[in-house]
Amino acid sequence: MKIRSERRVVITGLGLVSSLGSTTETTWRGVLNGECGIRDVTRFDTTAYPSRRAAELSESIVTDLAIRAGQPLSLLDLIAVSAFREALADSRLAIDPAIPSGLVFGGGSGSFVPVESELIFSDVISQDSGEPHPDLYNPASPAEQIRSMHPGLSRQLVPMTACSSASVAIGFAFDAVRTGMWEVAFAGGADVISRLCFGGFNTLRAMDPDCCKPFDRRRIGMSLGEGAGVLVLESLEHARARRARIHAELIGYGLTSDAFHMTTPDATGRSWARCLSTALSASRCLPESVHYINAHGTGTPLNDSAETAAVHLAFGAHADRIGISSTKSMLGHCQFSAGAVEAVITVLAVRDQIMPPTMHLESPDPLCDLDYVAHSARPATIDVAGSSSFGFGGSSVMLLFRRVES
Amino acid sequence: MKQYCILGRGCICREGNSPAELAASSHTKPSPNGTLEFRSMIESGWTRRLDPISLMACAAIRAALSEAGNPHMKSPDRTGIVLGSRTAGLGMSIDYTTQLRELGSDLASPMLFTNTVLNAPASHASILLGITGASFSCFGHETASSDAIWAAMRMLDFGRMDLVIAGGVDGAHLRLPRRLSQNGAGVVILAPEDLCANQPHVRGRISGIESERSEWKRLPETVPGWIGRIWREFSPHTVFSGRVLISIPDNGDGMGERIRSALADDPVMGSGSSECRAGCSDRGSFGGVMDLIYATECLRGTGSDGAPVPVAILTDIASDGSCNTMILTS
Repeated sequence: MKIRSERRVVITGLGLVSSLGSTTETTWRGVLNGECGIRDVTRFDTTAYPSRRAAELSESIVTDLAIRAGQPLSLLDLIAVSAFREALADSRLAIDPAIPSGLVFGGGSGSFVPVESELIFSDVISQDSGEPHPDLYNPASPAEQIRSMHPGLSRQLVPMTACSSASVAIGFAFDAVRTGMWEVAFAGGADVISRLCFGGFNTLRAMDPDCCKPFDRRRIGMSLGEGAGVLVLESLEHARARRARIHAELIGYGLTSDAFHMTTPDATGRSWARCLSTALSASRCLPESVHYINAHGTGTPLNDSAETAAVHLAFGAHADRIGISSTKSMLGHCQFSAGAVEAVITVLAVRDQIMPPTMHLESPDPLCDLDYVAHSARPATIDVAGSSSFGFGGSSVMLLFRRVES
Repeated sequence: MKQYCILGRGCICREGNSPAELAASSHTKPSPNGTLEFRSMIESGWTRRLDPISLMACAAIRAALSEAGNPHMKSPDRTGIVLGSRTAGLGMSIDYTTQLRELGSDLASPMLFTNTVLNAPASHASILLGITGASFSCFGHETASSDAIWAAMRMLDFGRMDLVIAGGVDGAHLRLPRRLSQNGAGVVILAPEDLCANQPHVRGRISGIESERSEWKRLPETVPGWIGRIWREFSPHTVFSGRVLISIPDNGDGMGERIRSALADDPVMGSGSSECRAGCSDRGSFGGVMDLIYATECLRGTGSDGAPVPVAILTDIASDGSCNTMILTS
């Protein structure tokens, strides 16, 4: 890859909402303690589905966020705005219209919730009661809410590549800061559980009726989740000039298309290995520098073995020395926002030098033969950590974060 | 000002399925009788597999690549796709959830569910054509296709790709509002000028693209200023002589004509001619790229009035007052 500018990009703010907590630190504590946010779904009737569980935001979390927001917002917008506000406060940054800045916020499948609620599953409004409002479906709504509160943000972009959307957003924001287009960028994503995705993954027989069991021999599918993650990216110079606290450095990323199949991964792992190798070469990072990977790790039979194969192909003999965990085993698969939620977790792992665990991994699968940090968090030296996201349609992303010495 | 070459164009719309047909038709009033006959452009095995929006996008992309001499085949891993849309996947989502409600998750179609994502058209195209570079889709309102062109140019600047297929696609559905129910796809093949030496297929050059935003009611004041600024950056101290194409949603308030009048009174821009396509309802979110394709024909003198146009400025406006402006030269 041709690098046209060499500005270093650092992470100075984090915001996170998940089934384990309404803030970054509460979620992080829960993850390190191995708490599982996957439970019976309460937001809609799931009795007709084979799987009825997901990592849903509890009523208490939603109420807490709504009180703090101080204004009526849809659930999707609420979690997006909450994570953004937390990240902004964490960065101690004031958005200045004179400083070029932008917002890249992955769209979410949760933006279909108003359509399914009002058009499909509602018995109150009949189908011929009039034309639905054009803005009933608006994946840009979280970004528009954030930008309406912070008009100093010069531009927004809403990438959508299914489960890798938020990772694409973070990658684009990284490039914008690296090349000097923006001095500061806010990137992430938000998503909530919809009947569309809950039903869809049940239709695909890709859901575990209990909790997902990434990399386990007994794994039969994923558990959906919901949440939001936001990262503040800025140039190292800008961060240093304002004496900002730096969580980690984002050193690069890989973005590739599998060009293989809409939903089935390449079982050989070659397509995803190309993404991981692109991330390493674009970041000028030796494989041996990578000590931890927050895996896509959905818990579906094909995903986990293909991802394991990809890590072997991309990292060679060093693959056995990398700690790998799937935090989806606690937070569920946060769908279009998974990349942002897991990027925040990865930054925290680098910051605190501890690998979060993979839960529910009791019976190792011979096809998944790496070190998955099973059962409990593990303190470790982490110089570089990766966060992988693979989306429906084949957009694959790996982000690489590096420790920054204080 | 950095330039990006347009190496190929593809469009599927009611006016026709080629840039020439698009230019030959009345560009202000799409023919209601126009047909969208494009299935023959894709192998029959694929036409059965793809949802209608993905099919349109694949047909437009294949036509654009063909016009450009299939440059993606040399380095598929340095070729990307950036498609903007407002409705891709939405019709499939409505159909799938309707089945979900009526039949339950066991009997609902998995094929429908797989195509509910907005990136389905770009993903199908990458699978069909073997494109393995950095690709993504982006959601947008009326300016989704020019947002995608903006993002695609940035990806070229970032060094992520050498060649990018950029544009927009939308699809109709009976249960969508009429404003969102438009069928069409348009794409251009872009590459940085410095990688296009000896390239025989250049159809036009885009010089920069600027994004601005203002209150809707202030657009007649702000748009001429934005256009003037981008023109002065491109050609300082020169009075504009060419054509301004403005794509603006028809909110029934005559805003398009007011902007056009304001442009005519502008000391820098007033000597050029301008066309205002008020009514994105006829164009979905892909009006911006369709105007760009139409403008490439105007450069060659095959636009609606038959006179070659030396330079065109394209302004794509959304109903929230956000706007993308770019300069096109031959």
